[in-house]
Amino acid sequence: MQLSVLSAVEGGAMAFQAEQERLERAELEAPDCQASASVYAQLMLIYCLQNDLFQAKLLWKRLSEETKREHAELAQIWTVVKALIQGDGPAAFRALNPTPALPTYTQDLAQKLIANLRASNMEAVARSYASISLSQFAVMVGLTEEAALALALSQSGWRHDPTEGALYPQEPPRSALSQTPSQAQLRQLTNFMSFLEKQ
Amino acid sequence: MSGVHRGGGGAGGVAPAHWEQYLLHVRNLSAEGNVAKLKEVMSEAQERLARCLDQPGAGGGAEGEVGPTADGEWAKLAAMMDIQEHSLAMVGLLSVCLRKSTNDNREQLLNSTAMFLSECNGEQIRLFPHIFAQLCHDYASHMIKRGKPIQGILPLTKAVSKIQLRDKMLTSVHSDICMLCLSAKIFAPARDLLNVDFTDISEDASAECKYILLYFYYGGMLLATVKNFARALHFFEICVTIPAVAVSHIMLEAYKKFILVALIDQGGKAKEIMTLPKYTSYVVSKYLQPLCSPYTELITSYYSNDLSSLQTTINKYADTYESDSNSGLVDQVLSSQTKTNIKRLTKTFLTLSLNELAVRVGLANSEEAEKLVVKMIQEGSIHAKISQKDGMVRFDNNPEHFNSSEVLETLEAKITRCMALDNQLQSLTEVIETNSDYVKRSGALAYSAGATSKEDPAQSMSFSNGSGAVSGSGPAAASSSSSGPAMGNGSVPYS
Repeated sequence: MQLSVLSAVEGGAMAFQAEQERLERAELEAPDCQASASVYAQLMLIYCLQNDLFQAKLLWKRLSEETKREHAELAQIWTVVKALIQGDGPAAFRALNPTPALPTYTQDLAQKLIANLRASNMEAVARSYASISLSQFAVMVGLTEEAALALALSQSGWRHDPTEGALYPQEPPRSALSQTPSQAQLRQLTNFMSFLEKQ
Repeated sequence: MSGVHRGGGGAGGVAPAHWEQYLLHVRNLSAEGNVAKLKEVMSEAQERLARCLDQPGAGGGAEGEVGPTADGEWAKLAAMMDIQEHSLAMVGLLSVCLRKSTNDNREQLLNSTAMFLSECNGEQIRLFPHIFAQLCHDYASHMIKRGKPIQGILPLTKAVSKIQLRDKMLTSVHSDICMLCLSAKIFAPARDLLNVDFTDISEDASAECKYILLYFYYGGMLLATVKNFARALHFFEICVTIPAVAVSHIMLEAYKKFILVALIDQGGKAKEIMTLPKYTSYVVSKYLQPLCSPYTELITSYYSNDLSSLQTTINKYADTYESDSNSGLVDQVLSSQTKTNIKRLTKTFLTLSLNELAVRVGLANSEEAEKLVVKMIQEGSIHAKISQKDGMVRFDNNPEHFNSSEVLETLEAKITRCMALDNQLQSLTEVIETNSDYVKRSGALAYSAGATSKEDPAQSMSFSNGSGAVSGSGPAAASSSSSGPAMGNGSVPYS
């Protein structure tokens, strides 16, 4: 199971989708529909990676009290889900690096989730802020101030004012349509035109 | 009665010889295609089994007496029959056994039902889909009563494929799957079902509209649970606008949820979005709307621009919302109004301090306002920039220039969907046009129209265009170039 998750992480969103479907099937096909804790833990993390937080919430709600009690890692992952639903990024980062650490079979997914969360928070800062304090930015990306500053300055157009302790993010330019129409697009356009003329 | 004797089955159940004869009859009659006789034979066998299980001592009968039990009788029957070969003969009997079972002997029967639903012969059970569907409904409700709804999902998913002739056919079992998913707090098994735009209704579902209403009601609830409010709204709207001449409690509850989900999802738009389409049945406005005053009042408060008004209404009807199990959605309506108010501010102000924004939309402090603005920017519902340096937020215009590859992809996907929908509508129109009853009736109408106004060919032409413009090959289209009486003649080959 661990191997398949690893390959899924490498394969991107499509592989996550396939892995999600496999785990969902595993739950329904398990004896009495009671899958192992590893299936639930991975499924909850994959839902988070797919930004499907309310399916993760439903999963936690349907777990039996016994399962929740016996497998502390599920409660740890639920803390992540809860923080993400509440939009509390710092709490989510803390919950993804808990003490004791998450089991090995969830480590890869947890690391991938940290990377995704950091990237989406970076994008949110770039889109939403004209200026932001370095300390808050560091909290939002789950890094120390030094590491956060290095990350910010590695982005194109971002500036730092050490006297004010402020960062000036730069929204990445929207990618304009540049490629020339391919044969497939021309075929598509022909279909559209013939459809409109038929009306 | 064809060979299956009445009154069989003493304390030991129905004699095996009766069932052997019954199996033979079912096999012969289904080979002959004699559906009417088959129905008679099957219902008599079911009555016999029911009488046998109703005897004193059967199932939960009087203490001390030993009679046939539902699971015992089924075990005997199952030993004599092969699921694939005798699906038709078994379905009604299994349904009777499950109905007559008691808490003590139901477990085994539920397992047998799950196996039957998964392995039965679809071709056979499609002869009497309503009996099979009833078995599915009973099975689903028993699984919920036993607190094991999740275990019923897989067998019912397989059962749907047995009665479905096409992927886009809605069956009454779809509602059972949604009910089980809702009860088991699981969305995944219903996801694919809820994404289909059904264009066909199976025989069992069209016989009882309750299950169609339930599918859209439960489906809407499931979609609202995972915050897919746009699709949930579509489901509740269908549930409310299904043609009806009598008030349905399901429609009433769906209408309440429709209002709440519309406010959550579309609250930022004009109030007219809350109006139901023109084709909505008159019973909705006449009977349902007056019954939903706590909800219609919520709409008025939502659009009043008065921050306290919505909260006052929610407090006033808190008990009603609680008893309707709608308080979760009502809380989300409150959050939605805050977002709507922020959106409204973007139309009035170019810049605003976060403190001022928090006061205007009723948030506790500037930190909360900042968090919400960031969330709304991420969702794409507003375009703004926050400057923490001076605590201000600057509202921008939509920076989208509609020249990105994402826009092109979205546009292409939407046009393709519209084209597919148009093709679907055309094929449905063609089915109606080639229906012999429709052709006869339209032909007769056109004839009478032609007879009364021979001087006005436009009248008959407009009718024929209405029915024949799409296919271009049907009798109506053929007659569109001729007069009314010719259209009547056009119906002959189809009658």
